[in-house]
Amino acid sequence: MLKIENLNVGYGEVQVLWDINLEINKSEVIALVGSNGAGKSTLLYTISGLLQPMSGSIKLDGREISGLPADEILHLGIGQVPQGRRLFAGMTVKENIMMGAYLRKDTERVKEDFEFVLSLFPQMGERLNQVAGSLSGGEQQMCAVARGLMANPKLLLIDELSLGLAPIIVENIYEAVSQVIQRDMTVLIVEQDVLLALEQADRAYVLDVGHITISGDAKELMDNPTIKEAYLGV
Amino acid sequence: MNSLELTQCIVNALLLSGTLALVAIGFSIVWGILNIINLAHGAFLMIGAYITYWLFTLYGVDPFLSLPISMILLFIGGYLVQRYLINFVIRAPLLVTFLLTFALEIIIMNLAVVFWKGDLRSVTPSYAGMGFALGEVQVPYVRLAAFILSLILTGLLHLFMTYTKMGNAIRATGMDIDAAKLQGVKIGHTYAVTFALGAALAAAAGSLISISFPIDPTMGGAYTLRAFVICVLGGLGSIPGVMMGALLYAFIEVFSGIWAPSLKDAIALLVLVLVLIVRPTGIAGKAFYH
Ligand SMILES: Nc1ncnc2c1ncn2[C@@H]1O[C@H](COP(=O)(O)OP(=O)(O)OP(=O)(O)O)[C@@H](O)[C@H]1O
Ligand SMILES: [Mg+2]
Repeated sequence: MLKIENLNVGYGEVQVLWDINLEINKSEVIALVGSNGAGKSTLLYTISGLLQPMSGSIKLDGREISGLPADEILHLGIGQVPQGRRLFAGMTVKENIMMGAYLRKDTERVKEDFEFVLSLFPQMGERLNQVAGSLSGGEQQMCAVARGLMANPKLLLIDELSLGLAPIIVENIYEAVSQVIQRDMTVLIVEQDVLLALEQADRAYVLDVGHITISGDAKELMDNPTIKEAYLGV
Repeated sequence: MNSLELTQCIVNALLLSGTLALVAIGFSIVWGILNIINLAHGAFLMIGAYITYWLFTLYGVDPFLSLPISMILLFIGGYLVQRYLINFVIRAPLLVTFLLTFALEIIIMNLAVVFWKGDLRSVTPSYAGMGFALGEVQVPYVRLAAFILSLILTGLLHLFMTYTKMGNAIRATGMDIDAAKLQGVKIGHTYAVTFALGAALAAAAGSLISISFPIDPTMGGAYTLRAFVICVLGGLGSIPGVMMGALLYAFIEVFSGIWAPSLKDAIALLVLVLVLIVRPTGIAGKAFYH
């Protein structure tokens, strides 16, 4: 579904990603892990069209999408739940969630999907008219995931969902995400918490200071000695 | 000042506050969303006033009927100015857009002087001088109508921002531009529509002002200044804040006008300086700068 080849990305002159190759097949759950500053968010921003690559290619179902504006990439089916949630703080929960459906014209389906995300996150239903900035961290993350789902993307990129949240809430949200995955959405999960990500994923890539150093089956990677030592602290 | 004069002043200030709110709201959304302090705002207002004047003088169009015409024309003009001029420097520091809109204002004003001459002109429909007495207080029809129309337009803007997709996109863009892009918002178009709305509201204010006051090509500057002060008073980013700011400012202007009629603009600046010193976040408590 998504194929990234020889991708190089930087901010101005400073290169951050080197020669990235990554492939996502339909209905797969892929984890992208790596420590602080490795370049995970940079890669997601590039896929979504917020950053332009220096060179390399990103293909969605065979079509080159690097260089396209963000709205076209979303329209083609790649959505993102960005790191830090990035809700519209002054807008209500409902307005935030509906912003996810901004490009959609299929009003009836949008209504159904809205009901569906509320069933995934019942707490959101109780807070629809509350301003998003006043939610707790966990609720904000639920709202952000709900907004991301409303675009009904083929491929959803989720960046550091667990950051700063209590484990029970993280589990809760990932439970909702797994329900979406069963509905045939392909997902790329970015996490600093390697174990958490590997548990969710079919396959995984390890990003180390801008290079992909390890990739493979997620369950096998849990036993990989390098990963154990560097990321799992065993 | 006796109680009759006092009541008259209060009525005048109330009537003035509506128009001032209209002037300031367009200025405020452009500042709040695009982070542009649009010094050409008053020039748009002046063009709106002249559109009403010419339609009335040349074709006998009722000034209130020309309101939508001047709004539509300035909406289009504003869209083009943002899309094909300001957009190129939108990433530049505030000072650059500040200078650009300053230049724009001078150019528009100069062209207006060349084409329309510098004379004071008035729109004088048959009902211009009419009014009614509320007790002994005089209420001119045109100012009351301008007040009501200003409130209606402000209300419509609020509805637009709250209940339409484009309005939500504008607010979202103002809050987090990258997050807005990730929802598929086309920023260039959204910015242009925001700027166009600002220009259309300025034009509406200009049209309404032209019915109550004489106009000339330099009239805009004083309104830009007032819009600026009102935004600082009311805080950016909220329509109620701007309305409060406008109300307060109208009272200051009307009452200070009694004691020092020739110092109108100086008083605006004095208020600005005082607010910046005493309460730099504006009366509404929200920072006016980003
Ligand atoms: N806007 C920017 N301008 C310049 N450099 C940046 C910018 N954003 C990120 N960087 C740099 O790029 C590198 C990768 O950052 P990125 O945010 O992609 O890492 P990350 O893997 O997502 O980290 P984290 O887990 O902390 O979110 C870092 O060295 C960072 O300092
Ligand atoms: Mg990151």
